[in-house]
Amino acid sequence: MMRLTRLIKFETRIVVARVSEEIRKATIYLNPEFAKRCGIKEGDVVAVSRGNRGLRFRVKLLETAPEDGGIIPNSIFSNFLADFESFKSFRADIELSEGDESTEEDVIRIIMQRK
Amino acid sequence: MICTGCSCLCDDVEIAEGKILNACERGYRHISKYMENRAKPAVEGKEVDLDRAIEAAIEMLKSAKNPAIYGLDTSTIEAQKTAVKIAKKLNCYIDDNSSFCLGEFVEAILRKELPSSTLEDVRDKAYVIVYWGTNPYHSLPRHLSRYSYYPRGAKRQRGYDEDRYLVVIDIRKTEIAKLAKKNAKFIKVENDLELVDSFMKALDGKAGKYDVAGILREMKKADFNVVFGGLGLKYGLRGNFKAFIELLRNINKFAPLYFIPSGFHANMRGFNETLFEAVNAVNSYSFSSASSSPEFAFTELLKREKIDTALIVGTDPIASLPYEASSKLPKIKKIVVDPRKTLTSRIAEVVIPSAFSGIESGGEMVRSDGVRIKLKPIASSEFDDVYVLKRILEGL
Repeated sequence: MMRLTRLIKFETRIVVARVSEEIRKATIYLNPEFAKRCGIKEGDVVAVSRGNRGLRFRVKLLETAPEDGGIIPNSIFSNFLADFESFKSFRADIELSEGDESTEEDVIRIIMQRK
Repeated sequence: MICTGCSCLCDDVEIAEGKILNACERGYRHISKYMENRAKPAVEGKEVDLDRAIEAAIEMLKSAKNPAIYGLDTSTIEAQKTAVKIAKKLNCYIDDNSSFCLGEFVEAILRKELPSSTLEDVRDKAYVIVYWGTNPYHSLPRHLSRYSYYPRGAKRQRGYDEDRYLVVIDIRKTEIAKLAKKNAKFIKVENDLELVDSFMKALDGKAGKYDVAGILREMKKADFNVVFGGLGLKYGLRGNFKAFIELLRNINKFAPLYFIPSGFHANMRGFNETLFEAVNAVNSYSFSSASSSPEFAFTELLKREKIDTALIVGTDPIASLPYEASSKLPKIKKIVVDPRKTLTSRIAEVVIPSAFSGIESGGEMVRSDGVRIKLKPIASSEFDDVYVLKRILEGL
């Protein structure tokens, strides 16, 4: 059955921070209450977009994530979405998505296409 | 051995019967996985021998019109000094991660604008301990247990819940913010400059947006207090470092308050001090202009397409820089010197393998508080950053 929240885009605060886990794939740590409000569950894949840039992230839940959003570990994924003025914290849109989370290769491919 | 997993440079890590003892999770991963995913010498994506890769790097640097040297924050002081010599010889730019990390704070300390101290003094004497825009739970996992909040120090014998006053300032309730219960305060900050203003007003006996008068009262009780400032503070100040420096100066008129930067690569401070000794600047330096400027930061040079070649040592800019800078990397020639295969090495024209400083290679590094630490490697390597950089210097 299709989830209604799949049709809705939520504005969210993203904090870029270090996490102890070693992360090779795009992962976002959402605040459990925020995720519940957005109808997002652990293990879902969400599209996070900012301006004309976007990636897909696998969702994990974390109590220390900001109340109105989530944490993306400092990585090629967070830095692809960030800019210098908002290097540690920025606002982005989040919505449920199909498919797998983005990979490092996906980001490098996009960067190389700009050559 | 000395763990080079972060800027704490813990000196009590031991290897016994194949086990790594005393290391934190980050340090354990750094040491235990050092043999994984190692870089191999390559030119234009084809594996070559080390000499050929070094020769290709020399040729590339010789023919470059506007080269830059970037990184070096996990290299030893000896390697950093050699890189400065290369930059001087090439009359080019040199920079490290501190230009978008905590370089401004280190510079203020080196120029005596911010009073600073050592982690040992913090452990022995500090009463009010402020973590501002930093979460050592993940970035410097042993910081609180070895140097700041938990240990009983020479003048702090009664334990953390009586003899320390913890202040955590962050935009979210982090793991260490959860510790702020008894004899402690957590400030959820929306605007760091407004918090600075609140402290300034409280010093004048006025009320500001944030209730900080209690923190100042606690500071007044002690003869040693400290602020650990991280990237959250740097970006929260939005470039207005003078306001923060002024705040610390004013607080110091009635209570001793020191500042120590918190949370960066193992030897970022070493790079800042090495360059400062050489040219009186901590980063973003142009030998061609004989000056330092934010315009000469590697990120700015990339964004404004001012360079055509980069010698990148021990850092992974395609992963660590925002898109507006990383997207320009494909346009320049890249020579990567790194022990590991990195994302940047995948798109580099030349890859030169190196050794892990502190694990396979000795030398000296500088801890986050400015204390110099001699490394005690547990393995050896035929080549390291110093070897590679000296070969390049000679070849030029």
